[in-house]
Amino acid sequence: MNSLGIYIHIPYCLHKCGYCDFNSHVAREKEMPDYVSALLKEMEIASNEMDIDSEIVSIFLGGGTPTTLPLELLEKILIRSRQIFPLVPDCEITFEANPASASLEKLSGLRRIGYNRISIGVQSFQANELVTLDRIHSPDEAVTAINWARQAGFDNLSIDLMFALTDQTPETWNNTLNKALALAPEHLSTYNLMIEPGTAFYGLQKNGKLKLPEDEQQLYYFQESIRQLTQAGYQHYEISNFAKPGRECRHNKIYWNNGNTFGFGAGAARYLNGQRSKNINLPSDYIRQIMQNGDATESTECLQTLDAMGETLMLGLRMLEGVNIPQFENRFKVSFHSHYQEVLKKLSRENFIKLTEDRLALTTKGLYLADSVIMEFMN
Amino acid sequence: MDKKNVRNFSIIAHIDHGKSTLADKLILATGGLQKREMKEQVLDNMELERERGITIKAQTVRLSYKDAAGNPYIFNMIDTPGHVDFSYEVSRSLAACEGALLIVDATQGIQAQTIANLNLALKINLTIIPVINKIDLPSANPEAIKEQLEDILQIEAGGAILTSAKQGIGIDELLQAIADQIPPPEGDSEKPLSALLFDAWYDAYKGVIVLVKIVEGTMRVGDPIYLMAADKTYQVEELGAFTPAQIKLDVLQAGDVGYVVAGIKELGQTKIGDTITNAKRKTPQPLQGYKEVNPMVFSGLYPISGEQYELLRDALKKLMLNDASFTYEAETSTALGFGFRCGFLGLLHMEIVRERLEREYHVELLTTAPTVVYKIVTTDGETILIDNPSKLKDIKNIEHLEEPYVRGTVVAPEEYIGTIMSLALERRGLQTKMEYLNPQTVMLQYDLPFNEIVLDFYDRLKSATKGYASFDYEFLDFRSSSLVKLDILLNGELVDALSLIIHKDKAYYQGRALAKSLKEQIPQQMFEVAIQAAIGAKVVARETVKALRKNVLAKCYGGDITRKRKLLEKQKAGKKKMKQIGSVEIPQEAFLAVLRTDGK
Ligand SMILES: Nc1nc2c(ncn2[C@@H]2O[C@H](COP(=O)(O)OP(=O)(O)O)[C@@H](O)[C@H]2O)c(=O)[nH]1
Ligand code: SF4
Ligand SMILES: [Mg+2]
Repeated sequence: MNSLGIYIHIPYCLHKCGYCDFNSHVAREKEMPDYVSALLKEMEIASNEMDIDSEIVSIFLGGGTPTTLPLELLEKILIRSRQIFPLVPDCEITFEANPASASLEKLSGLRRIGYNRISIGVQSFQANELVTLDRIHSPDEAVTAINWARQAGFDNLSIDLMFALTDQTPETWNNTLNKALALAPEHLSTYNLMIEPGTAFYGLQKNGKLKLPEDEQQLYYFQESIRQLTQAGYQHYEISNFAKPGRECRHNKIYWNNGNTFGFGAGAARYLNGQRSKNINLPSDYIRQIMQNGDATESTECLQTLDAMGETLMLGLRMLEGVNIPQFENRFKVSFHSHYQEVLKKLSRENFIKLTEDRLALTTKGLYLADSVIMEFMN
Repeated sequence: MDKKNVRNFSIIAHIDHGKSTLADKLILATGGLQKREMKEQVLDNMELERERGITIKAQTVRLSYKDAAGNPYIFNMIDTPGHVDFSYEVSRSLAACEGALLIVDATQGIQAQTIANLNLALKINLTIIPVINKIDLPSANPEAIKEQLEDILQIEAGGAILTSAKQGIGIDELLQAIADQIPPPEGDSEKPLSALLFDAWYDAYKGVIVLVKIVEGTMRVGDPIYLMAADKTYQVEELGAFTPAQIKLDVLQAGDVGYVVAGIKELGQTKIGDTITNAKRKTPQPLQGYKEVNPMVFSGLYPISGEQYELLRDALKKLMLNDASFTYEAETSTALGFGFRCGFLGLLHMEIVRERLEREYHVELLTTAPTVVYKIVTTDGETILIDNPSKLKDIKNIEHLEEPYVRGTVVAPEEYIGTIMSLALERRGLQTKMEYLNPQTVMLQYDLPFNEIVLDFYDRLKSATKGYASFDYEFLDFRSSSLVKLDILLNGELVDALSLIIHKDKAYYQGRALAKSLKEQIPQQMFEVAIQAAIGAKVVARETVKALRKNVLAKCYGGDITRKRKLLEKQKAGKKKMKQIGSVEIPQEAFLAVLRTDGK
């Protein structure tokens, strides 16, 4: 059996956050039905071309903010998915939600239709931090949304938090972590704020109007999340992700294992049969192209073996369990130890990696410098 | 034409006083080119010269002139390079002349280069015609300039020609003055051939083209010629002159200036200042004054990627065909691998060569900090010249070290005397002369170690005097000096390409400045980088680039993995451009760190 994940992109948000460089656009209600029609058309075409022996183990509605879509449209997407794709019985079906566009009614509806995992973008439980982050919800609204999710029957719930924010202090981060823990989510992500070119924050930072904590401080926040969350019984299973046993995000693990995924919607990326491709970003372009040609691919690349190897390590090393060496060798037909001999020697000497017979993983020190370490393995 | 009606002259001036513009106007006025054919500054024909607005290679133009009375003349106008790096070429060009136009900007007056170039011209007794240019400018003060010329330079300036090269004022008068005042060349066309080789360049079609002034005798197409210093014999294939268009001639006789094509393949064999004679009827005595030009500034050129080594070697070889004043020699650096030690006349020359290598030959280069040549005298009385500080360690039984000195001339408004003096003192300068050019302007002369001025003296001087000071220098001699080698170690490993030789009194300070500058230029890496500056075994400065402890680890959002990978690959490509020394990655610019230590 060939296990696949499906990613569906909902490119709308009520408001563009200052740090956001995702493919998100102002929510245009009039466009939404057309967008979903295009989405369903794209999915149908893909399902017709899909290998017979495939099964879908996860669906992930990301964004943007999927909860900006009206319930009927979200319902339509899932119903149609079930009709045209072979979902496994315990298929993980996640959607991302923003506290500002959630309601008890909508969440209940979604749960009823069959969505079984919710990922809520909280980011911080400090009112001032949310303001500087340019988020449009308050800490209270976030708590309320989480309570609604529970009431609606979601027993697999994830919270996103962010550190390295302007005005953040050890106390506020500690407080945010505690508040999150008090809500007992099954899963938590703590992301390091990253200033991407082209965002509003990027401009502010360049003009000296955005001051972020020093590197050492940022590292401290990261270490604190690891310390507190693992102490509270969460497993630190990926650089930024923590889960109660058995509650790791199945969808993201497909990415990290460099597995196959469909990607539908504006700007969505997919990886099928060694080929990565990505759709055009602008929703209106996407709709037009799908309706006209049944395809909105903007770019495609066929990976050379060396690139694919680098990529597999780039993704795999993000997980604390690391990369399975025999599987890697099997997939790429190389001897891992001899191919990476030099790098492995250098990195283990300085204690950035742990290397055993069949696994390569980052040490804690290596984890903090994951990009630098990973870069050593790239072409 | 009768030799009596030939005039050979150069134009000498401080930079930007209008030499090239004036040359253009003289060409235009004599009909050498029609107006529509004129590009501005026609003589500056190398792409780089035009971009930088400077004259690197001297050019020579033959002009036909009829004076007011209708007498025909031939003017050979020799444009000289305007930068001190090429001063040897200036003096050889002047040696081909009987007179010189000394141009002085009517607003700026005498500057350092005015003095330096005039001295070169007076040494060989040229007739000087003072020309005061830019009289169209509102602030022009020709009378004051005349006074300066007379008082300071002891030049009769009553008859100075007032011009505006820009507006074409005074050009006719100047042409007439050239005809009237500059003496015709002497020499006897019947004597054995003796011709001064004063310029040469490589032409892709004809091979080397040399410019000569026939001092005695006659040269004809087909003649066998002998280059005396080069000790080579060739046969004349083509003779001619530039008007500036190329015209062919059958003969060049005593007094004439023209070009020679003789199947010469390598520029290295045409030494500026050499005497050309007839191989069958040699002159008994070569012309005076020939000297080998030796590069004064050396730097290592290394290909950034080892694969470009062959490309670089070929490029250097080709470039040498075009520029005989630069040298190269293979060298190996433990830090940088295989590369070349290259010698230049000066820093500008070095920049020009480097730019041409990158632009015309597409070699990506890493350049090490330039150094001067040092002389080592051993206890056995042997002298050794070294062009690379790291070679010092290979020499045993050193008796003492010597460094090259120059005579530097500074001209500046008198309110800056104090500033200039302290700058010169800081650079170990010895004042030898101070003279007022007028109540507001002073000329100062110093004996300075070349090492102290080669990098940034002029820049510092200019910024300390708000751009008012001008500077020029000429080489004097080697002088004994307390010099030490300053080494840089990264994580305990000596980086040979960063070593330098420096006066012992400055070593400590420079060591600290260098370590600091390196700290700024070496990015944080996965490991801590210890930077040490040492003299022998003694560490004089220490800096640390702390280990990078954390990346900003972005998430791979929505499976857009290509983007993340591309980002890392891009960073990796940037890293690959750095030089790996031990486990330390060093950006190319760091090898020029010595240039970025403020002051000394
Ligand atoms: N106003 C004015 N500008 C001039 C005159 N002669 C030259 N220039 C300008 O001075 C600058 C330097 O001239 P250039 O001929 O390149 O000087 P060179 O460095 O001596 O060859 C250029 O911008 C010219 O346009 C002149 O007679 N009057
Ligand atoms: S809610 Fe998320 S996707 Fe939307 S603008 Fe904010 S950060 Fe971007
Ligand atoms: Mg010029």
